[in-house]
Amino acid sequence: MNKQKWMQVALDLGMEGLEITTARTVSRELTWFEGKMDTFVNSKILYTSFRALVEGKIVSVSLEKVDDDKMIETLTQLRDTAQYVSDSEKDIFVGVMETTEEHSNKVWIEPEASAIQAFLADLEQRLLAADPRVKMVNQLGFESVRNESELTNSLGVQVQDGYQMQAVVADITMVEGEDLRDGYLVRPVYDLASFDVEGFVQQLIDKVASTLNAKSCTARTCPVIFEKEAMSTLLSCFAGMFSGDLIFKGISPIATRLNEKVFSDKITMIDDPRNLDAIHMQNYDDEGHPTYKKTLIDQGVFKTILHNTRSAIKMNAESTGNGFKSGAGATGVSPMNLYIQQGEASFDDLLKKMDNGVVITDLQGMHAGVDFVSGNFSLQAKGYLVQEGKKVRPLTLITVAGNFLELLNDVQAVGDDLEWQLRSITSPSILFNKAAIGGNE
Amino acid sequence: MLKKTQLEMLLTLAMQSNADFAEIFEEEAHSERFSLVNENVEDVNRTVRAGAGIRLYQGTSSVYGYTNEMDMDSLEAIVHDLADALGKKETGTTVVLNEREVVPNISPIVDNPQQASDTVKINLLHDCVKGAMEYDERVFKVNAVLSSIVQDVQIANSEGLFKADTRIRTRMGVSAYAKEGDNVQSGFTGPGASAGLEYFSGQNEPLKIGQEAARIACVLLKAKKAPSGVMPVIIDNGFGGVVFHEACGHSLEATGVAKHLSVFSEKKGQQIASPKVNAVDDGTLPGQWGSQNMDDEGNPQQRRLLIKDGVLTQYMVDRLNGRRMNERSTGSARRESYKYEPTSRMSNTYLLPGTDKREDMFKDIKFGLYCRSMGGGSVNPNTGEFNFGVNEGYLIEDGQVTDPVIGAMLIGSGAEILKNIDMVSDDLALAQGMCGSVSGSIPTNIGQPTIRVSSITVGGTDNE
Repeated sequence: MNKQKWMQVALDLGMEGLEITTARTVSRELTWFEGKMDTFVNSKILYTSFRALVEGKIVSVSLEKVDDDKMIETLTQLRDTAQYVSDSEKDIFVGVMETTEEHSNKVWIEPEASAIQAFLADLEQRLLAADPRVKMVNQLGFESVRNESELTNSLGVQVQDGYQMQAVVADITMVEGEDLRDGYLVRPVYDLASFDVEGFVQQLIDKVASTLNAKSCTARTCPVIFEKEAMSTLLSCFAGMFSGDLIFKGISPIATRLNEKVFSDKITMIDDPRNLDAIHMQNYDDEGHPTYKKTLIDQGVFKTILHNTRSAIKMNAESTGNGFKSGAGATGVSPMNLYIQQGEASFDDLLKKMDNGVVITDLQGMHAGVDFVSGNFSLQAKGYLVQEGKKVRPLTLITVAGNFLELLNDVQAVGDDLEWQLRSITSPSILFNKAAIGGNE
Repeated sequence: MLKKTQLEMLLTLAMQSNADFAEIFEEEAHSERFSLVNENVEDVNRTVRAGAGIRLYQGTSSVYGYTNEMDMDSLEAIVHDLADALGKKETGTTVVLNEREVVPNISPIVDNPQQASDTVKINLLHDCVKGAMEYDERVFKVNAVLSSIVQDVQIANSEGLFKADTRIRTRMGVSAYAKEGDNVQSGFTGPGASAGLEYFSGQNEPLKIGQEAARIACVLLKAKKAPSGVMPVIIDNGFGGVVFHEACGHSLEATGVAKHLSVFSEKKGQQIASPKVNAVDDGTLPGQWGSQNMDDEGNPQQRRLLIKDGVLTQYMVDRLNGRRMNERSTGSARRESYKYEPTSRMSNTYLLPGTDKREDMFKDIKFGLYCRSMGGGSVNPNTGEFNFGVNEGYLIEDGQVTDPVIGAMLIGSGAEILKNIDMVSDDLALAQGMCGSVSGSIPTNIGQPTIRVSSITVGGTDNE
C-alpha cells in the first residue's frame, strides 16, 4: 500500500487530513489432549484503519482488504460520511510530539513446534502424576502472538509500536469422593528451556485441590478479602470510570467528583502504559499521542481524568494518551496498565487482621452482574471461609455483592502481593471491613 | 472470492499429508455501525473483514490456519505449514469440487440495511432516542446503536462440497440512563433479526425500543436492594431463556460432551430435567437472529429436539466432535469469523410452551423473586455451575408482585435447576443475544415461556 498516495488523494478530495494505521499480527497456538496434539492454529492477519479529518470531525473505516484501485471510492465514501456526524463531535489529529521512547526489557525465545509438543506432552504427564485426585487434563495449550503496528498521519507523525507474548494454559479436573472440581492456570513463558514446570504444576494442583468439597454457606455480611486475582477482575469491571468520554456523558460513577475524596485514603491508583513490569507496554496510543504515567487516585482523591483527543476537546483538557481502540469503531478512552498501588500487609497479615470472614478467590458473571453506572455488583464467587485467621473450608456457589465505591471506601488493609502476570489491569489483595455474601445453606 | 480451481488446488495440496479431511472457509463481511448519543450522531463506522480459514483433520486431531493475505502464495504457505504439522506425503487425493451451490435463503431480506441511505438509518435512531427521552423526564442520556452485517461465505472441502451463502443481520441496541438525585440507573434492550430494515416496524418500532430501555432505567430508580437466600423464582418469557441457555444449553454442546467435559456427557436417554421441560435448538426459523441457511461447515441447519419430557434426546454436534462421539453432525458448527475454527454451538434455543397459566404461578408464593428481565450469565460446563444477573426484578410477597429490586444474581447448578422447574406457561417468546465461547461471539436467540423454579439461590446485597 502506498500510504503517501492515499494521503495525497485524501487531501485532493478536500479532507483536512488522513491517518493510516497498519498492524500485522502473527499467532500460533498448539493444544494437547489425551496424549496427542489436539489442535494447531497459525495465523497471519494484516489490518488497516483509515481515519479522516473532515469539517473538523473524524470518521473511520477499518479494512482487511485494501485495494489501491479502490482508493478514490473508499476515501470518497469516508469523506461523505462526515456530513452525518454531529458538529458537537469536533476532533483533531495529533501532531509530532517530543517523547523519549521506552523499550520492553522482555526477551521471548520462540520455540519450534516440536519443542512445544514435547513440552506439552511432558506437562500433561506431570499433571496426571502429581496427585491421585487429578482425573483429567481438560485443556493444555501453548500460544504465541507477535504484533507490529505503525501509525502515519498527514501532520507528519510516523510512529511504531508492537508487542509479543507467549503463554501456557492448563485446565484440570480433580475428584475426591463424589466431588468434582476444575480450575486453570495461565502463565507467560519467556523461554521454554527455563520455564518452571514444577512450580506451574504445583500451583495449579494446589489451586484446584483447595476447592475440593467446596460448599455454599449461609448468607452473611462480614469482613472480606478479595484475593489479588479476584480484586483485579473486580477493578477491571470499573476501570471505565476514569474515562473522559463517560465522565462527559455523566455516566461514570465518579463523573462529578474530580479532586474529591472518592475512595479510602489507603487506595492509590496509577495508569502507566509504559510500565515495564506489565506484559505489554506502548509508547503511543492509537491516535499517535505519546503515553505517560499518571496518578488517577492519590490516597483516595480523584486526581486525573483519562482522555483521547475528542474527549479532551469536549472537556477543555489535553489528551492523556489514552485513546485506544477496542475492536472496530471509533477510538475510545481506556486505561492501559492500570493498577492499585500495593500496601505493606502480607497475605497472612490480611488473614490475621480479618480474623473471621470470607476470602474471595474467583469471580464469575462479570457481564451479567455488574452495573457500571451505579457501581453496584453482584457476582458468583468462589473462595474460602476463615475463622481466627485460618482457612476452615472452601466455598463455592456463593455470591458477593455491593457497591464498588462503598467497598473501596471501606478498606481495612491493602496487601503487598501486586503482580502483573498476563493482566493489563491489576491489584494486590485487599481486606474490606464488610461485603454481602449470599449462599444457600 | 477464490475460484473453484484455486480451492481445488489448495485442498489437493492439503491432502498431500496425513490429513483425511480438508476444508476452506472463506468470507467477506461488511459491517456498519451508527451510534447516536441523544440527538448527536457520535460515530459512523464501517469495517470490512475478508479472509480464509483452512482446516485439516487427521482422525480427531485438527490443524487450522487463517489469514487475510489472500494471494495464492500466502495461502499455499499456510497449507504447507498445516500439512507439515500433520506430516507430509508425496501423494494424496486429488480434490474435485462439485459445482458451486448458493444455498437457498430462508430469511429473505426486503430492505437491505447496507443499501439504504445513511439518513434513513440515522432517522431510525432519532426515533429510538425520542422514544426514550420522552418516556420520562428523568431520562437524561440515551445511546442508540444500529448495526448490520452482510456476510458472504463460501465453504469447500475435500469431499467435494462447495457451497456459498449470504447472511444479513440487523440489530438496534439502546441504553437509556435515568437520574434522580445522585442515583443513576440504566436500562438496555437490543432486538435484532436475520432481516433488513423492514424489521423495525410494528412491535419493533424504534420508538417502542427506546421506550422499553427507558422504562427499565426508571423502574430501577425506585428499586430496593435485592434479598439473599433460597427462594422460589418466576422467570419471565423471552430473555428469561438465558437461564436454559447457560444452565443447560452450553453443557449439551458436543464441544464439551465429546471430551467428557460436560455434566451431561453420556446422559442421553436419561431424565435430566423435570417432566415439564421440553427444549429445542432450531436453526431453521425464518428471519430469526440465530438462524442460518447452512452451518459453518456447509451442513444444512436443523431443528434439534434436545430434551423431551425431561429426557435428554440429542446433543448439538459438529463434524470434528461427531468423530469423537461416533455421531453425525447435527449442523451445529458455528464460528464468529474465519479467525475461528468452528465448533458445536447453539442457534435459536428455547423451552417449548407448557400448559400452566401464568397467573396461577404467583398465587402460592409467600416470598420469592419475579425476574422480568435478565442480564447475561455464564456457566462452567464441567461442573454445571452457572450465574446470571437479574436486570429487572421484583419481590413476590404473599402471591403479589411488589417492590422492584436491584443487584440480584441467580446462581446454581444446571442439573439442579432443570429438575426444579415446577411450572411452565404457554406464552413462548424469543429474544436476542450474543453468545461467546471458543469459536467466538455469535448471534443466538434464547427464549422460553414464563417458568417457575421452585427454589434457587439468589445473591443480593440485602442480608438483613
